[in-house]
Amino acid sequence: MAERVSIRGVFRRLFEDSVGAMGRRSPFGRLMQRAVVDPELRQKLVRTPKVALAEAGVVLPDELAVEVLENTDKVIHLVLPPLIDAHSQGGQPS
Amino acid sequence: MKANPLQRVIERACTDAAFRAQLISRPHAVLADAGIDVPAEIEVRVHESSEDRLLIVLPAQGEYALGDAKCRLPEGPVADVPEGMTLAWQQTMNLPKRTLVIKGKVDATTAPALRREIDRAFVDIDLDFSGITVIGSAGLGVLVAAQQSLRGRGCSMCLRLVPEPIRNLLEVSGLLNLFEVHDVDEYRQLFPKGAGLLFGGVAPSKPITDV
Repeated sequence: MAERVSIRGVFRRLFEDSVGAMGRRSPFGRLMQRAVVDPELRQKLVRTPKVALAEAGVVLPDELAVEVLENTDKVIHLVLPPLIDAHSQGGQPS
Repeated sequence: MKANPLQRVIERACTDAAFRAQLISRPHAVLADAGIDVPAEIEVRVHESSEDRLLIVLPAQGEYALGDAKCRLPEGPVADVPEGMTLAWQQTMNLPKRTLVIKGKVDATTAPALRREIDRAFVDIDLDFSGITVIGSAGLGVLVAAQQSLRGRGCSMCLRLVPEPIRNLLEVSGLLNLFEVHDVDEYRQLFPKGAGLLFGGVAPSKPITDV
């Protein structure tokens, strides 16, 4: 069955599922929900992501670099997790 | 509910190196193959996160807020509904969804108004069935068609508080498994699901074989 869907629609579902999976009341879930509507918070997240995250109660390891990519009307960013070799020892056995 | 095609693309790109390379170099084509239409004027940039670099995507501003014009649905009773049925839009708890409360008869006369209302939705919606007394084949047809067009907009539809006789009707007519049906308790547990792959690049816990 070839059902066509729009990129914006599926992206939005992905976002909502992510927020749902994290928990709407978790610090990061709340931060992301606020960032959708708050221009100042968005700027802060883009310019100084770690500061904005820390202020919202999302503490990350110091050595981890954080970059925030902002979707616009014209650009959609997709982030791929690291490639997993399913046959290596690294992956969990199924 | 059917898996989000974009989620499946991302999951496959976690384990299938050739597919991943294709997605990075020709995102539009790969997404189109997966059934996802990307307007030509939209640029898709694919990034790879690594263990020491976390990438977070911010959705476009206002795109998912309920106050956004695209998502705006009226609040309260719906006008211009034929006699015998009433419709009302409500907030769904504190979730970014809306509930359409349907009461009375959903038959050939009233079903088109139901279709019209569902077609206004650009958010996930719940249909509150608790007040429906009768639903005919025209009503069932509208539900199937409206769900299809909602999915085309990337939204889902869920039936809530379905009275026993109507549930039985859906079951015997073979339509029950076409819909997501949630009772209140199930509904409370609804949201903690779906893999949060997008934010922070958390890899799935086991290899994905489903293609």
